[in-house]
Amino acid sequence: MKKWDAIVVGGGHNGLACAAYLAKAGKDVLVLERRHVLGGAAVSEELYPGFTFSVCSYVVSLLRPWIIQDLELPKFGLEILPLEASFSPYPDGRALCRWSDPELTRREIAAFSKKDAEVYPEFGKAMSRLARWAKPVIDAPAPRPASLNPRELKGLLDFGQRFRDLEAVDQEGLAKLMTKSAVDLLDEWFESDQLKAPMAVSGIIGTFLGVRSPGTAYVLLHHYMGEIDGAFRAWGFAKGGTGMVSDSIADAARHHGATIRTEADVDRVLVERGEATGVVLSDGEEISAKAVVSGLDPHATFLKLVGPDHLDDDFLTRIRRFKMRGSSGKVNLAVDRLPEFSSRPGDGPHLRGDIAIAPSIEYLERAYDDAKYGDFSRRPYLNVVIPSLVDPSVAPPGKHVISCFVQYAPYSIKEGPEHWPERREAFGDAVVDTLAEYCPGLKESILFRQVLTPWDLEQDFGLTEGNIFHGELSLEQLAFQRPAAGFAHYKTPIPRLWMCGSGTHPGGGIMGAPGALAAKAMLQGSLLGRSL
Amino acid sequence: MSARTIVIGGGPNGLAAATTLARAGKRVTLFEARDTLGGLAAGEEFHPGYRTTGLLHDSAHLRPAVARALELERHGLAFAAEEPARYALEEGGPGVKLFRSVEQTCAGLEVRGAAAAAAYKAWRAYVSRVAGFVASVLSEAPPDLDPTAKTELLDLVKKGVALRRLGEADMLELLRIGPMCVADWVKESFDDPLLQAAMCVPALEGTWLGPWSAGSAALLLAHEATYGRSARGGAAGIVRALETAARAAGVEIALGEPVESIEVDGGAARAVRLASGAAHAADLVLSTLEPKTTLLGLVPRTHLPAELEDAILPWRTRGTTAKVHLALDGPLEVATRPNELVEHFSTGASVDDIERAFDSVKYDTMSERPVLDVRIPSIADPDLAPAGGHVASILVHYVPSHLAGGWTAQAKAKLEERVLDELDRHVPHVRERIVATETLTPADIESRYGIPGGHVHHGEHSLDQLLFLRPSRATGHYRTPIAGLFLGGSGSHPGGGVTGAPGWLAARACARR
Repeated sequence: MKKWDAIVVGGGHNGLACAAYLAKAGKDVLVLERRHVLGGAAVSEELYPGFTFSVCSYVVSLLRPWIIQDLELPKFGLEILPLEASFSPYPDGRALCRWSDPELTRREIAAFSKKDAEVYPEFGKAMSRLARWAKPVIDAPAPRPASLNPRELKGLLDFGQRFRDLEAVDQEGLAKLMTKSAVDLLDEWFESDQLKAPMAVSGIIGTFLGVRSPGTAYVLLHHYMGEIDGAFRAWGFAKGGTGMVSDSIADAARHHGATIRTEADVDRVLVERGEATGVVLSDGEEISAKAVVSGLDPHATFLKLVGPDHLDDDFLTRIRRFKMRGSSGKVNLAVDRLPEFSSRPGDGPHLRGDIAIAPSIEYLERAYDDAKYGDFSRRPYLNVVIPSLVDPSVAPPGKHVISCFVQYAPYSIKEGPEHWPERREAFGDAVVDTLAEYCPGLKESILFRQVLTPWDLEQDFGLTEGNIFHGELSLEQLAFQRPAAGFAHYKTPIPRLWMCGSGTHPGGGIMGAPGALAAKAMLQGSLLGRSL
Repeated sequence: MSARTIVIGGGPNGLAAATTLARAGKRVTLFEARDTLGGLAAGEEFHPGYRTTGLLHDSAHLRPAVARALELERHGLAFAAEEPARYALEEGGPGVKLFRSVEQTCAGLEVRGAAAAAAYKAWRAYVSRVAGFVASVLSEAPPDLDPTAKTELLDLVKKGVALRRLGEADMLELLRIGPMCVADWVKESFDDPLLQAAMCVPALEGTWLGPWSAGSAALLLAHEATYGRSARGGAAGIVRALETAARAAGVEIALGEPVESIEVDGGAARAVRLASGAAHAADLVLSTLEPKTTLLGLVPRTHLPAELEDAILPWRTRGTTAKVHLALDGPLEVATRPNELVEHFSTGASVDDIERAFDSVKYDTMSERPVLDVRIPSIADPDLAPAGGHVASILVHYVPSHLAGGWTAQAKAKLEERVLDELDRHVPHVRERIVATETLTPADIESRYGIPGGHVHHGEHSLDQLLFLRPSRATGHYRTPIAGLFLGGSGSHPGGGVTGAPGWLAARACARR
């Protein structure tokens, strides 16, 4: 029986990136994907004839430029089309659009607050400075505070020295930023609720937190990290849908000799004498390998694929405590005409960016309160994009696809998560009703609607509790604690079993970093004489 | 003869600072705006014959190092013979009694199932393993991440070594818990909803956080790690000992003397001007008032460095606490504990109940069902009330300082009714016992004690306002950029409560100068 160098479980973008790096280093790699398409949550599918949807993830933000270069992704079809604007309509018929052109943005904000218009660029600069400082953290494995290894200690000291090298005002800003709320941060700069609300949402996306919850200012900083990637305009749509990110990485992996199988559902990881030796598919097929790497989230990896029998209680407790509460859903629409916002009618560049339904801080906070007590938001925060405006290849002429990211939709609704299917359409209605308040003709234009609840994200995409980041991005679940202290370097307690998904450092979003860093860690292991 | 040292504010921190400085040989004058010493810990008569033991009624967090250094026991401080348990109430259920002793608490928890007792025991075992380290951080000047002096570097290294000595597992667990929300911590530790809620209550006292707010787990840990013995006479008992110690050390105390400004010349504090008009020269001024009040209110703006002004302006002091005092003509009888004198009880039967109470302050409304922390100090100290009578001291969470519509007389009456309604659920017929009430809204606390937002901790306890960031990086070590001006109130590390620590540590920072 063939023995692979490595089997990657899960053909999401991180699993594929891991496979591509391993294959590029000459390893014999097999990727196993349960679904008929690759990409995991970074996937494009034609759900309705002629309409291609970025079913889950819908914008590319932090895809690491070094990965794009290493894997020559443009050669394999990756093309990012920039987002031009951030548009926010309000119930009173007004609207605010923030553009890439600073002067246009200044004028728009000045309609709400002259003071805020002047301060806005300063805020951007301050955040970019901090983001530039913090960014190396996402391009390398997390430092280990518990290690006594001289190299690790030096890493910590260097980290401390980098902090000391910051100007005093930035030291203070950074230290406070890590723990305060997005609203507390924005309150220090701005007075206009109409500006603060759509800015604050960058701090809550994918979290089970409100805009006033401590810890959300840091998530907001992540947003600015995406803005400064320079070489490659970072916020944008992948041409052909988000699945093209995964497809280009898959093609790069194949180019380097990786084998990729779809409709290959891994049932469990084979553990013999305490070591991972391969996998068993749900149809009983056994495949052996020198190493297995899981791109699934930590709960799915350890509680399902490996199973409690092979793990000690302490580690199991820590994995069970790793919080995975999904908080968002997705509604995808095919429409027969362009939606028209009553606050800014007609076609226009304001529709070629992202559209935030986040009219006030109180609106967002109330949306969160609904979720805290086990219900979806009656009036949710929506992040809407119309990719077909920028990339006509995804819809027939004159028709459009609309992608609505929805928060909050808690996995554990009070009836129990398994009751989501009964509430799915009511949830979809709440989303469409919310958007229709700003786009009066929307409902009549809908040809097709797909509603994805957190339950669906779990059932269809294997995301435990529907958590889009494979685990919440709260401070205690980041860096050396992702997914558990002592196991943040892609290794697991089981020799020859590795992790490469968003549940590892540096976390979720279409970054590719967990996959690539995991491959590097595995290769480093083999260089030191320990095989993969 | 050395120039005068002036301490502003006669609360526990002002008294601790003044005494420490006087014992170090300074000529110290303390100015207190009110006619009574003690600040939030002052015992006050709120109805003829009925006295409180302080607005903040917890007296178990005085730092032992402060008591030792100021020899407070020699000056009359005594501790309660037995620490009263806190009884967490639930409607229609037996409730939970939390004792200092793990064994006693576990014995009481047995009726709720063996799992509850075992979980509590394991939780307390962890807390006690890390308590020494946590208490040391909260009893010393905060470590600095950018040490400039060799001694500061040494302090930082020492803290690092102490952290490592907890052992890898406990240390990593501490780093995990630090930024968490208390709801997550108690939910992963205990299955019993009432026990979960009961553990949250002390962590959230006074602060603008709900149980689901990140950073609140650290506050529970801090509360537990520094939980000492209650003082006889409560917080007011601590104040009496502090006053005796201050007078013995030669501190001159001036009551009814609000400070109007601090005069600055050549970048140094030179004098203090009183509202009464008199100016008092000083070479050292230590203010224990809330940081914004001192830096933006007392120091002339022209003398305040712009960076400091920028750093202190965002300081958040949104009060969430009100206080209700009840004068009673007899003992309160908790429905589920007939014939028992319960000294301390709290409400909030689930984490969600407490969170809902918090939700309302986000929208500037008062909670439908506030969370109550009730003490009956007259059980241990019958002198607080006329014969047979009792005093109830009720801290009310969550009550917003900026109530929509303002704190009108009607709003205040409504608050009192809500508190009594909530109390009535657990203590039937409570209204029939009431002789008189006193209700202090956050606005009343603000005006009586001179704290913006009526914030009982002089600034929110959230992670970005703690340790060396309290109240800002440049002032996080009690010094200010103005030579000779120091901060030493609850707005400095280690924060609010009747601990004496900020004042004592600030005075030591002055002495080091």
